[in-house]
Amino acid sequence: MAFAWFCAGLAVASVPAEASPYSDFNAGIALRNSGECREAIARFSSALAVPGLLDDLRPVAFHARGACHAELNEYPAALDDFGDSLKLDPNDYDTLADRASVLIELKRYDEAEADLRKLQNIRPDLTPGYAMLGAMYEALGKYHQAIEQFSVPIDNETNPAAGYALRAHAYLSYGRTRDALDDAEDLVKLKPDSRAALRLRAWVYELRGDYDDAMRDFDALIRGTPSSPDLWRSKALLYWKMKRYDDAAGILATLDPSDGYNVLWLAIVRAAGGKLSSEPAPQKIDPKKWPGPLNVLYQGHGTPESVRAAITADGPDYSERDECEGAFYVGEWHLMHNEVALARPLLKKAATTCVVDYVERSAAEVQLEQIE
Amino acid sequence: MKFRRFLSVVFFSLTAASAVADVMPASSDESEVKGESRASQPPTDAAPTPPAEKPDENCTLGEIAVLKMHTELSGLVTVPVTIDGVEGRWMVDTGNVTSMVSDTFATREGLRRLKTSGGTFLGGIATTEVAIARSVDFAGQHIYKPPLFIVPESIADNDTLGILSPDILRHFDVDFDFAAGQMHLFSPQHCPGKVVYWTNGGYARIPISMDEEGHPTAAIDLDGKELTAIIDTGSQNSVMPLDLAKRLFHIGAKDTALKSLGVKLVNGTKPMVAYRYPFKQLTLGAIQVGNPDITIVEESGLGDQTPQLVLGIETLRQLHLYIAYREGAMYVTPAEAR
Repeated sequence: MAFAWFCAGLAVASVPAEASPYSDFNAGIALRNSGECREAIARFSSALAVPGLLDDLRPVAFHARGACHAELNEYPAALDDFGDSLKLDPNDYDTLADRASVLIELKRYDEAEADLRKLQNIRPDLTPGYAMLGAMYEALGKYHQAIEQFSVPIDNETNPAAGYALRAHAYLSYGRTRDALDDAEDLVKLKPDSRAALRLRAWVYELRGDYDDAMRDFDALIRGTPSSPDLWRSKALLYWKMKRYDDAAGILATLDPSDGYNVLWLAIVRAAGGKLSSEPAPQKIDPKKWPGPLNVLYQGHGTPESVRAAITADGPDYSERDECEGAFYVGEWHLMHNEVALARPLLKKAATTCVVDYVERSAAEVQLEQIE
Repeated sequence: MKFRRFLSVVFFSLTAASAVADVMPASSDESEVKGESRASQPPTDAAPTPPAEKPDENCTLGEIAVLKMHTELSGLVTVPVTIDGVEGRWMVDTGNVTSMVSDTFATREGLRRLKTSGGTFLGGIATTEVAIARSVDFAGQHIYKPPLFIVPESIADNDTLGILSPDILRHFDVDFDFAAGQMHLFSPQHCPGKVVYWTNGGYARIPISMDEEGHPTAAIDLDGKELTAIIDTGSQNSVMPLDLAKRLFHIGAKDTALKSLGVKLVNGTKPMVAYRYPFKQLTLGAIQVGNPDITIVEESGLGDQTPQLVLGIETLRQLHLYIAYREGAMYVTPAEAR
């Protein structure tokens, strides 16, 4: 039996365990928690197939099975299950939130909004209703509405820390960096020991061009977690923006060479410092796994066209992130080869299409300022 | 796409909370806080209304309340509790020591906070503050100004208002009917042995004791080896340290039966390599659990307070579990025994 480990049959003395809807339900929960969603779906289906499972547990079983379907990207089945769960327990806010997540994934925004509004009505004190709806608006470019949603946990004092963090992000997406900084500052005041708050403020400083302030926060973060490669890379990129190319290269040279992004950035900062990389090609980078095609290009074995082909290889569902990153790094590659005219449109594309979270967006903005 | 609740984490509950008496004031006005503590802050031990002092002459159990027990997707269970007039779901956590309240709620309601000598969750996540609520109402009992540890934000569940722990639970007999989705609370004044009301079939009576930190522990048998287990409804998984598993069950470094589960997170933050081993049988008295699912984790990440075995909700949900704190015993049958 494939999932024998999880089927903890129970017996009193020598009485053997018997399968029942409840034991199937329990096994489903355990399997789902172990990441065995396919098997979990089978056990939940068994539990739901026959009468006997307690009425209170049926909506949980539907919800859990729907969550498994969602994890497996089986969205129609997930929606069916969430719907069945909500018929039995219409006010379960967890199920509403999970159904809204799937609806957003399917771009059925009106339905997702309806679920999230209902969630807000049922539990106005819970942050996810506002956070999810705000994030949906933000992704749709409806920044006013996003900011309105993220302001609720601040205004009603249910979760101001989350509100400040989310709203700062929305302000950044909107280009309102001063407001973002205000929120980041308020968050740091509210949570002075929070590294996430300090990280947010450092990021806002960086996007505003307040590099010395950003560096101060990064140094504080690194003092707390000196072994974090993400922080070191962030610091290296900040050095690059400050045109301290040797400092940036010094850090990047110490980072994991099997991480394709480290290798790309090392090449970029060396080129900016007038030292074109002559390093041997890293051996541990998979050329087919993103950003591998970019590494191949930087090593002189590929072309912008081959990168483009790799990005679109997945058909119409190719990754928007790959598209954004492809534009930036290919643009940088053209700059390294003094092909400014070819670089400019790609960098403009990165600066306008990359979402604010991607370092490539602000890096493209910095480069455009320099070449214009 | 990010699903809020889909992360598979190993969840343990608090192992080392300081005693309530250790609470120290954060403010400089120490005398005021201490004065209030003496005058109006009874220890949580005495907080719920004492049930009837003597057992019923007919030896019927004195039922105090029946609560709807909500099963979360993780398998953990919550019951309704009201704090300062706000009702919400509280996770029932027999493996904890002191009840806890969410940081968000404490902040929103402006609960008074006191610094403490602190406690540590498995995985090393510390909690260092106590909030003083005006009241907690649970199962018809009004608890005045209970001190509640604050759930660290890093492990907080957004939906759960607090964690209900043995400082409150142990004033009752607590009966977990997982299959019926109900938690019954009975008076602890019952006739000895006259507890198992839900079935005429077989049951096991297992002595429990409180360890130094106040966790309920019981002797269990796992594949012929006796272990001390914490009965922990607040832990999603049943968990055992790797060193102990190797020593007791002679599991070699290259034992192919020991399967790596990769890196799991303890309480959502502490990464730790986890394993699974095909144990055959876990025995609690006369009750046997076949093929128990026990997660084995590297001990180094668990800190100094590692118990031999944490018996988590994944295993406990298969039982009808009646904890008689005052009697020092728990009564168990299969969950669906009627």
